[in-house]
Amino acid sequence: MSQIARHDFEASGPPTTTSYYEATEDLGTPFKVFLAGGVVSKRDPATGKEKTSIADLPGLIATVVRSRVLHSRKLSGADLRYIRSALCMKAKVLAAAADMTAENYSRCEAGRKPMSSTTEKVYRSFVFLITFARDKGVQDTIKQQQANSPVPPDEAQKALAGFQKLFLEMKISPIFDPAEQLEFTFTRGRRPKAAPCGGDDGEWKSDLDQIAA
Amino acid sequence: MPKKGVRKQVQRFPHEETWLKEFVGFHGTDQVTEYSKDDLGGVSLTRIVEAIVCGAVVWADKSDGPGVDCIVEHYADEGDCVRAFLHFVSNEEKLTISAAERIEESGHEPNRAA
Repeated sequence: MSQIARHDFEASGPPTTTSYYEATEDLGTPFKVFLAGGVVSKRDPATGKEKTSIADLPGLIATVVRSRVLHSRKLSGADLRYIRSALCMKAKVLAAAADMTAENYSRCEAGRKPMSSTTEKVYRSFVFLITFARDKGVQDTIKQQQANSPVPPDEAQKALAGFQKLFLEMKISPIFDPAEQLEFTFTRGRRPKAAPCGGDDGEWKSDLDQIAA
Repeated sequence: MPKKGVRKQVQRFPHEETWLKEFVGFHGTDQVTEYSKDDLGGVSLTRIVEAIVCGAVVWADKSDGPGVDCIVEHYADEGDCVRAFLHFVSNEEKLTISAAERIEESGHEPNRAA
């Protein structure tokens, strides 16, 4: 049985009509990843091989990472290794961010030692924030806000409280059925209650991202 | 483009490296990545993107048509070494991953040489 974090912005829409592309092997994720939209597969007549095109691959990887840290299931060693590779960061940098020694972090990645819940929450919040650091949209918004007016203190307070609730009060689930495989589905180009044709709005999304928003 | 597995001299290609790193270094853009799963040699797309961001361009040549052919290598902390063969067309915002492979020997470490 699978635990599905399936995303569908058009409530009455796609699952029956949209074909999902399984990108688990392509992305090398330790959990299942399905894509709806933003991916095109076709056979190359010259070579006979199947060619796949993915829009905004770095954006997809960032969204995948964000969705995993927003899911409450305890991060496994394989999850930690995947996240490090996806963030293009060295183990010692991530270890320092989670206030761990590089040796301890390495043991967690190898699956020889579990990360404590408190450390995992700090780690998750760091990973979540860092995925936005290279987002062009976020950078443009920050520049705009800096040029116009700073964020009002009450809005900043609200955002901080939301972030705190999301990660520091997160109940991490260390116990789960190993047969229950984690699955995430990502869509590109559909907004909630979008127009029927739903054009590409240039962003990968999952339902967990919606919770964070 | 040289054949897979052929060793080459360690040489830096700063312009190509800058283009590629900029290309995959930001997201939320309209860029497209094309690949054939059969040619990835068991190397994941995530690992290839990491190789582009953290590794080095060890060979580059202007193609006959638009774009440039590049080879990127990256040696990760735990000795996981990856080589990716890329074709990059900047004005189309398109990156084609022609092939990828894991490197067995680690005679030189281009990404640490800079």
